[in-house]
Amino acid sequence: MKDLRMSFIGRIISSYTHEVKNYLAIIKETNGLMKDVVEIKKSRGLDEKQFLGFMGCIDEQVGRATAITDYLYRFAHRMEDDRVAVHINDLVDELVALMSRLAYRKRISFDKMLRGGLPTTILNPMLFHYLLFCLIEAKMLCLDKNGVISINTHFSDGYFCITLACEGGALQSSDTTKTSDTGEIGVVAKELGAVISDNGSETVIKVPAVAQVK
Amino acid sequence: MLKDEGHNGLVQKILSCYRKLIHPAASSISTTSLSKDRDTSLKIRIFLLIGTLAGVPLMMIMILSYLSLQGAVKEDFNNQLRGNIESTRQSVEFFIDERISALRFLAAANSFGQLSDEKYLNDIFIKFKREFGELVDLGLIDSKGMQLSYSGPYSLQGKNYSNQDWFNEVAVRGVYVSEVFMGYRKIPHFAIAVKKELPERGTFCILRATIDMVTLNRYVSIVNLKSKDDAFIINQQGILQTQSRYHGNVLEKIAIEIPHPKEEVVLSEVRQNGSTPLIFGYTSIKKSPWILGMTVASTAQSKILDLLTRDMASVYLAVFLIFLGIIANIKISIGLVNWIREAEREREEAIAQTQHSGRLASIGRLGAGVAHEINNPLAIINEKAGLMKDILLMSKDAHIDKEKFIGLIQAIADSVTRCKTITQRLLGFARRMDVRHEEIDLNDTIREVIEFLDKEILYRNIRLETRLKEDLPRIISDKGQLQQVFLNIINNAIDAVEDGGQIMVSTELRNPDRIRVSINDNGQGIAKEKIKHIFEPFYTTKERGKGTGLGLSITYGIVDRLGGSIQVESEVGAGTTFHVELPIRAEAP
Amino acid sequence: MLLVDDEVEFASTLAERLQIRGFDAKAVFCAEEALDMVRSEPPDVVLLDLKMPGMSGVEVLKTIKKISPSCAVILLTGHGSEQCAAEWAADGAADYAIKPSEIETLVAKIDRANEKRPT
Repeated sequence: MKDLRMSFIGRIISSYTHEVKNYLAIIKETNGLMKDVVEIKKSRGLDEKQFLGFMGCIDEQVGRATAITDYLYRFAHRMEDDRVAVHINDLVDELVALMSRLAYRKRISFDKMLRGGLPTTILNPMLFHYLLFCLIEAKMLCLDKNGVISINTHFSDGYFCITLACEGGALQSSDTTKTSDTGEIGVVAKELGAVISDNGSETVIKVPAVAQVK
Repeated sequence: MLKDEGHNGLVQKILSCYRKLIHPAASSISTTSLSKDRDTSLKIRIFLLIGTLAGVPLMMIMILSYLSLQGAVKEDFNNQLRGNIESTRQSVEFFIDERISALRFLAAANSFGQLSDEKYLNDIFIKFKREFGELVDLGLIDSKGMQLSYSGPYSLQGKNYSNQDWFNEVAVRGVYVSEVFMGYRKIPHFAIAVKKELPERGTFCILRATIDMVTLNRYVSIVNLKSKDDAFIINQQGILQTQSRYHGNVLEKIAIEIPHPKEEVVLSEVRQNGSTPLIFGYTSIKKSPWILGMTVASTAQSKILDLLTRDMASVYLAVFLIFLGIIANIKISIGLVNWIREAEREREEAIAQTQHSGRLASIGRLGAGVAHEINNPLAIINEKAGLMKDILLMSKDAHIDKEKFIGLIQAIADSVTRCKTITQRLLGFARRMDVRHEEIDLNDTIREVIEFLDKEILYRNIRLETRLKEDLPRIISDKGQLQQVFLNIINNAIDAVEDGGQIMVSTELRNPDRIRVSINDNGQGIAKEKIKHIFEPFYTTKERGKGTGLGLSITYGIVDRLGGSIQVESEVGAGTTFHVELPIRAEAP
Repeated sequence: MLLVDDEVEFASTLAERLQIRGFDAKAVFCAEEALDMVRSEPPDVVLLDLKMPGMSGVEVLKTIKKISPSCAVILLTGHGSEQCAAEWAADGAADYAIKPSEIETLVAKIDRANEKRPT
């Protein structure tokens, strides 16, 4: 069981790495191109607009790489403590950001609707990441190209509700047995204290809010 | 449980030999069957232990209470016997007393002349006999021992008793009770004689009556309650005066020894050849030459048995309770061992969980470290590109310092390469989170780990040297876990040394199957008495809040599971060396 | 103005860019040198990288503030949070910026810190 969790982390890190490498590649190419241009244009002046374009591009990539690296940093930090006060929205945000590339490969995109101002709760953040990862992965499996996975969070009656729904794309038959109690998802959910309900189109994770212990 | 290991080892050996005999093919025993056998032998041993611990005191109590009960019953028994004997004796004594008194009365109430008259005597005899049916004869004897008158079945005219013991005795004592003799029609009789003083004649006469033993026999035989018991009267020499059931006929000598007859009842245990032991009680009967004896074959034991058989219900109950006790014992033994195993399993799970958390935490730290590292080159790229932009925007003329630009571009390229190395490492690390056993180059692994810690080492100005043996054979193991091991130990070394300290990591081939990795630091060292504790979970010399104390115990666990070993050498003030030995082929757990 | 960062390429390039924008910016690459500079020629603003070998960034911050309290120190870090910001402010930091930052953002922070300096 623990091996699956390890491999999940591995996959997240791989996904991040590939993303960053892509940005780096672009930077490298743009850089190379600049070099070529400078070398070619020996005595004549440089095309300002062109070069600004280059730099802008590099800036953009650097920005993206920085952003995703920040997410990795936050993700990595989640593994340090197994009981800590967290914002559910932050956790969802992190995981979705880190899964973007995996989804992108299947031309699936995310639609986040995270209700603001939710209180914090105490749980095992890495485990929550893992649970969410498993459920999103399950959804990705039954979505074909150009699908959209929407994620909704809100808070009511002392429970955080995270709703996952698929829209668009060709739907293959979903494997609802994955949400059984004995499956990996069931075990993880139980460990978190969360309840998962699946009515075919929507999957809802209900996590009880745990108040901070002084 | 540690002591059990020794015994368990022996049990295992025996069981494995046994198993080898039965199944020669099954010489490789799986751990589950081994631990099952261990469990069974442990259950048996606990069962025996509890059984003994509970059983022994119980047995002792049972024995003690049985003995005390036996004693009490015996006492009661003896008292009863005594009582019997005493009351019988009293009856007999009373009987004798009565007859003596009657005879005395006769002697006193009638004159010598009357008594010498046979007709008169006969008349008295008949009247006497009416009251005392067992009277056989009555006779008067003069002081010289001559039979003067007689009434009875014998013909005793002219008989002279002067030289008989009884005559002399009654002449002196005034009363005499005889022993039993065979009399008329071979029926046992005894005689009572009383002396009548004849003061006017200056002499005396003796009135003598013979009495049938039948009544006395009856007195004695009434006593008998149990089939094996016996009561009888004997004389001082042990010759039976009454009929006994088991000890002979009248006038036979009994086989039992009578040491010293006393006035009170004496009880003794008597063993006769070939038959059960008897309790023999006896006492002397006053005013007679007799001893009253009683033998009792029923013992206290049989009495107790009697009691029990009368109360079968409680016997069944007791047996049932013992049976319940045994079942409870079995259940406890099994339950206890299962509980222990369960607790062990839970403990192992908890440790596995902690190890898992530890591993996660270290991954987390690694990830965070990497993220940090990437930021620097990204920042550089940012600034370089920014500068280029600035220059471009600033320069009025179209001439731009090409050299400068190329330099900046190169700097960007270098930073990108830097990022790439970092991400490569990260990727490799991520991939390895799935692979368990692969071919590993230990030197490379160590180098990678050191790279991860590069910043920290630089930060603290630590000099880290490596002496990695060339051409070290590749080993089959789990790279991720090995990295964790070395990461842990080197981290500890970093913590142990001061800024500017020195750490040396070396690898060598120990023997054809094992490689040794040594990590030495010149830090504070570990005291001798602390060394043996460092691999214990939760043992830490760091202050509260710093470190869980689990690092080394998890490391130890990993190395152990990979089939290797860890040793520590340390000297306070000089430094510490950790030696990790790993097999070239990782053994199956 | 002083830039303190052990990444040579980064510090020197940024210094150059700041010079283009009219700041008298000098880059040093270790804490000791930085403290020497602060002692000899106290700058108005210091851009200080937190993760450097040798003294911890926070210690350097405190020392600078001790040597020259009127110095505004802006901390440069890979990651920040509200908690850290509060701690740093308590230790005397004027502001903080996350690497890599847009030059415009940095300049704005520098200007603001300079204005807020106790004279």
